Amino acid sequence: MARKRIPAYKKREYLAAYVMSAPVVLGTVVFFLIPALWSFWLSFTSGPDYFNNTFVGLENYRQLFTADENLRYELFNTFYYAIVVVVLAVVLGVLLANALNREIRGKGLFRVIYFLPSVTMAAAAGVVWRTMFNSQFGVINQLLGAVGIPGPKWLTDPRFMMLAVIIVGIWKQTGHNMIILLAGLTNIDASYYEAADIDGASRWQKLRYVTVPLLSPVIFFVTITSTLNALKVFDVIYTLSGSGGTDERFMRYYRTMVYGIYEKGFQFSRIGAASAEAVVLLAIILVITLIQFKGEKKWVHY
Amino acid sequence: MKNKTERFSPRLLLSYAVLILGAVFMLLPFFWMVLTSLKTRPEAVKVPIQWLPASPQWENYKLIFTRYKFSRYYLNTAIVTVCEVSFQLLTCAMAAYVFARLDFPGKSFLFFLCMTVLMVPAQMLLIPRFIITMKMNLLDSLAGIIIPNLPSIYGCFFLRQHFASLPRELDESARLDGCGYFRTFFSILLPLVRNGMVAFGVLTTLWAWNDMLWPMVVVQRQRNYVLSIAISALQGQYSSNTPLLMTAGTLSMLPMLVVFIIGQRSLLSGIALSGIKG
Repeated sequence: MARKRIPAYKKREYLAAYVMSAPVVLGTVVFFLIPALWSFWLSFTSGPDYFNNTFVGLENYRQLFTADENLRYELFNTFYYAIVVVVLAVVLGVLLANALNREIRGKGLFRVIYFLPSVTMAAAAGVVWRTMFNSQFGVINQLLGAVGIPGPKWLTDPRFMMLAVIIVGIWKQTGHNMIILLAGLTNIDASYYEAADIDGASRWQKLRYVTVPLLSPVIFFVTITSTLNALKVFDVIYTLSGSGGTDERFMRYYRTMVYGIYEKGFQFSRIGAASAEAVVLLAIILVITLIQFKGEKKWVHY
Repeated sequence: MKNKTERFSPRLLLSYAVLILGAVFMLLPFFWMVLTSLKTRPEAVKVPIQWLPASPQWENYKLIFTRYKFSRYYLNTAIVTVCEVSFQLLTCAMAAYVFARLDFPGKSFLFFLCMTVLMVPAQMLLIPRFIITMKMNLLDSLAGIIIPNLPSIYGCFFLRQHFASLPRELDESARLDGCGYFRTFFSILLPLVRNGMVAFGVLTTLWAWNDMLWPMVVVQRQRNYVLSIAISALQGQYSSNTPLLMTAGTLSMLPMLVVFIIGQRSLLSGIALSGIKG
């Protein structure tokens, strides 16, 4: 069969399409696709610098899981942070959006205030919160003391160090979630609630059987974005822990996987090891996203 | 009828209580930061807490520019932000238009490719990107911070939704009037996705201004610092000088707070839409 001739107007369309999408597509290939594939390759190599790498098979992974004593801290902290921040930032986001979805004065002002933490520089926020968490003069413990609660040593007691990071994480993520959830709430048609009223539904029943199911696609979206954000946390950790000036005994209670990748790759120049950890993090992110999308079918109603 | 009674209900009062409590938590760090930046060092660490400085100390706001070179870091951060944002706005809008409207061989493949890559966090790509930047001879320069951040797949998808929501009749009537694809894009459709452009513009301005990890990896010399690295370095060096650190914090956050306040309408509605259209 002879090839169909492409008409001239189609050719013009193709040309326009290729020219106009070229910067993003080429940029994606050079700075996303190639680096992603390269990371995989590097994770199987070992070498003294960035260029003289030799293939070592799974050696980096074996070392990472058997000999690297920091990995378990990094995994634990990453998951601890992600789970608590995601759950609380979504639940608080729903509560706040619900509270705001009424005849509230100053609605616009509340929206702006709640969103402020997500526009602030994470590095600077970490510096500020570190002074706030100071166990002697910090504002947190002074406020706790004012209501009779002895504040813990947020920055030196292992039980509280990650908790402090989590509080900052919730501070940063909640408002972002709230804005999206609020838009979802206002999108729910009032007739559903009227129907529920006619059926004599209680407030709780309305929340459980009307609001949450109808809001579930938005809750799902917010959960995904919060999870991805949480698993990548770095800036806040870095400055909240004192910008590298911290004792290694303390640092292990702060270090997350991205911190581990940064440290291995750029402070110790262990390219292979850092790449292996990056691949592990990517695998974790993909698995979690996959599980969430599977779960979506079960509880999200469109 | 329900709304009128709700105005006085205890439930509404509860809503206010929750919202105000939350707002105090959200604002506390800002108050603490600004007030502490104006205190003397002994005032900043006083127990019990002294909320207001006896007399506001503006000294640090001068020193931060003269002794600690923040004007340089401001300039660097601004250069990085302006370059990244303007390039991203233009290229993402064009690509978004292409993916929303035009047809070409390989479209679904390219779309799938971008979708997949979107899932990969940039943090995972640090090392190969570092090597590429090194090969391009851009290490320890502002260009080295900027260039790897120029392509944005997120922006492309974000704006694609906005283009897709415009009626196709616009393209067709433009075609009948003899507009080519570039004309249609620049003079007909682009002005109509203004809100989306502002929202993405604000969003990507925030990311470019606030980012720390990549600049930290690329930059060595102090003269190439951006604000995020500068404040972190300041913290490492002067950890006990609380007012100085709070001054640096205030100054590095301030421009983005202004950008946010100006662009909040478009940004908040753009963010809100991102979840609904999914």
